[in-house]
Amino acid sequence: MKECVAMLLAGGQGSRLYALTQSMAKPAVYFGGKYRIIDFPLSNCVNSGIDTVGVLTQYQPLELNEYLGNGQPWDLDRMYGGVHVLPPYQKATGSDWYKGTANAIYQNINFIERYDPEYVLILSGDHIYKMDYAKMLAAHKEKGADITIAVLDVPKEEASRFGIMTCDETGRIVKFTEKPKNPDSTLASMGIYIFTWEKLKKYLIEDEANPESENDFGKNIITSMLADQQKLYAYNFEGYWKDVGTIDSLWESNMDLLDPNVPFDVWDKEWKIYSRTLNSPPQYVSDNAVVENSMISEGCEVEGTIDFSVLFQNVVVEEGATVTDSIIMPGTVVKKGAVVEYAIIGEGCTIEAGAHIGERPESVEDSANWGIAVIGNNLSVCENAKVPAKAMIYNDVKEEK
Amino acid sequence: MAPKDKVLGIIFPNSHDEAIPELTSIRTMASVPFGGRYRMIDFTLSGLVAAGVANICVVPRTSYVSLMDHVGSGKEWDLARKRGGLKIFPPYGEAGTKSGKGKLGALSSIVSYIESSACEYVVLSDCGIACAIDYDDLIGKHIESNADITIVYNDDTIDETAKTDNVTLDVRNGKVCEILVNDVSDKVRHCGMWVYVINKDLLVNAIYDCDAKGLKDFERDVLQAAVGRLNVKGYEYTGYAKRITNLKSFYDANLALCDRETLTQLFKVYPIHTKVRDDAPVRYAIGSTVKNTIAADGCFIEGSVEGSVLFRGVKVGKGATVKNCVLMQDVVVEDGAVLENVICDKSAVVTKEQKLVGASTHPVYIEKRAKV
Repeated sequence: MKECVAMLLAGGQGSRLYALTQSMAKPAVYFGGKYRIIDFPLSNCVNSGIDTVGVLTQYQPLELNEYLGNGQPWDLDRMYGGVHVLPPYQKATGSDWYKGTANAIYQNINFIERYDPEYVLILSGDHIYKMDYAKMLAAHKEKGADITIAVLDVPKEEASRFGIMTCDETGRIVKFTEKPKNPDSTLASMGIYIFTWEKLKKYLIEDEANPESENDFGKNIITSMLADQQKLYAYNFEGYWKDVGTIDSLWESNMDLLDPNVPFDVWDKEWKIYSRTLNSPPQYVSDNAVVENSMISEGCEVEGTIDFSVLFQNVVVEEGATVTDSIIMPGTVVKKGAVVEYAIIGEGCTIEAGAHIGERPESVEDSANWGIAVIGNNLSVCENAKVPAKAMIYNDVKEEK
Repeated sequence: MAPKDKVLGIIFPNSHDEAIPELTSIRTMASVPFGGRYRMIDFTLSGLVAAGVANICVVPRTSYVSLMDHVGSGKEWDLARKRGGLKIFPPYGEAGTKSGKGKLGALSSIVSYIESSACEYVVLSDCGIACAIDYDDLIGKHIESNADITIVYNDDTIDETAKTDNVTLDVRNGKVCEILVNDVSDKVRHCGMWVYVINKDLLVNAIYDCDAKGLKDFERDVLQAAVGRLNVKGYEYTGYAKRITNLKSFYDANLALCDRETLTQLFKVYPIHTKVRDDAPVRYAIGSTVKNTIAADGCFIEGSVEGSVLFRGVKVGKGATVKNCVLMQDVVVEDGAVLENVICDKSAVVTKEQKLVGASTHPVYIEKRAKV
């Protein structure tokens, strides 16, 4: 048996990432120069001593399946346990998509039971953070809780964007409100739950039997457990945590890696973030290149100017090209004299010579019209084209006729 | 396309160890770090794998801890297989095996394995040259020309220190007419690259024969002896090749990689695989200046770096200056230190404000884990 099995919800479409999630699920989206979002919860699992992870997929699973493979990059290729991709499947009694987060776990009760766990850790594949789940599990056991929910103290003005927990002095949760207008607490749920499996199983079965339920963890399971006076405890997390579900938050979170004042360190050898890596030669920075305050990955060739930017593997920035305040995903080529500012460029793109992508906030008159410009994956932007701020590009940008 | 399951690769990690005692006192030539994130053996392993050779033996003689750690099960090269894959044969593997020196000694210790292998051709390779040989073409040409032995060569001059460790060929119409061992010529010669394709039965017989006669030198006693008697072919390699014959050539070969064209010639012929270390991307801090440099993941640069090779996890502190240096894995250059023409072995630390300057012809070498 396994003491604790992790279930990672990775079926989300990530619709607010628009062009970046056209052909891949949100957890497969690139982050931080060489990672994908899912590397963070997976690495947290292995660093916390959890070696059995079910990854629930639904939307555009191909990229994610291929990326996870046998789990070897995360040391999750195990004889007993390891990483398992769990898509919805057909059963003797019919078949169903995952209707909600709780339903996704319900449909995989058999998977969990194979490991006969005492506890189940529920994670989502859209957050960037480093967390020792073993400590959270210890707190869960110490309190004798039925469910422990990781919470983050957020600024009062932002509290209405989250699911908010109100606790008594022992840390026991007495109230849970989804996106409250007038929050009476600032403890926001991070979407990380540890359940005592017997309890969770009971509630999942009951929830499934209720035709009114939306089969959602926050809305249904936690609410009914609270109503039944079960033991719900909050676990305070201190540290960096970011939901990267939107273009702005994805951009900001990448930029946070470049800010020495943000306490988020992917260089920490004690808590490595593992990923499936391409074998690329070292990066090359030429004589004429200017690189400052940036993060650049292997295989890149830089002959232009890079400032405040994150470059993924095998990006080429030719002479005279400038990349500032931007994120460029793997294999993209920025040709001579092109300018990229305040932009996210997908993988495998070609930005032809002289093209100009994105704009600085101060050069846009009405700040409502300003935003990060985004180029989807595998697109080309023709010579001297101009892509304005806030643009969302799904197709090749061709010459105007 | 050559029939890949008919080919066995054998790699000799300790050949030419004596060329750079600085680096090989603690490791084999095969595990000498090269090019920011590689070890010399990566070029041979990756080349064979790219050609579809999936049955490879590594036969170390001494100092092979770092090599074993590096290659592991061979999974990074896709060589962790049920059928074939990577096999390491350390010395004294079986009671009664001879563990003579050199290539013949190594071959003799695994002769029963070679004999029982289902292969027809054997590729023998040392690890002293950074190059990107097309092994598929090589093996194909060997079979096509009905050769008994094919010797890979390129045109190069012989380094002063290599005059006691080289093989040169006289090749006419693809046929090797003469082999010189330890040529002292100053001219450009057809220099052997320590890579041979040889028919298995011939190799096995030669090993037994040399054993019986007490012969010890593969190049002299097998290759030279075969010229005129057997069909010995030359295979000219025209791509990128750098011979590591001493500390200076090691230094030059590394620094030469600070060039887009050279990187392409060595790394883009086929992917060069190496052990993965899961480092974060390189961080260029505010106030850093980096020019004409290659850097591997995990580096953290706050100072100024020019014309250098930074291996994985190198730290260059604030106000530090690194010029024309080769800094191996996890080297730390503390704030304000100045390094010029320096080679730092793994995990060396250069303390604050320390100044180390070598000459471009005579780089300073700082040993593994030293603190300066």
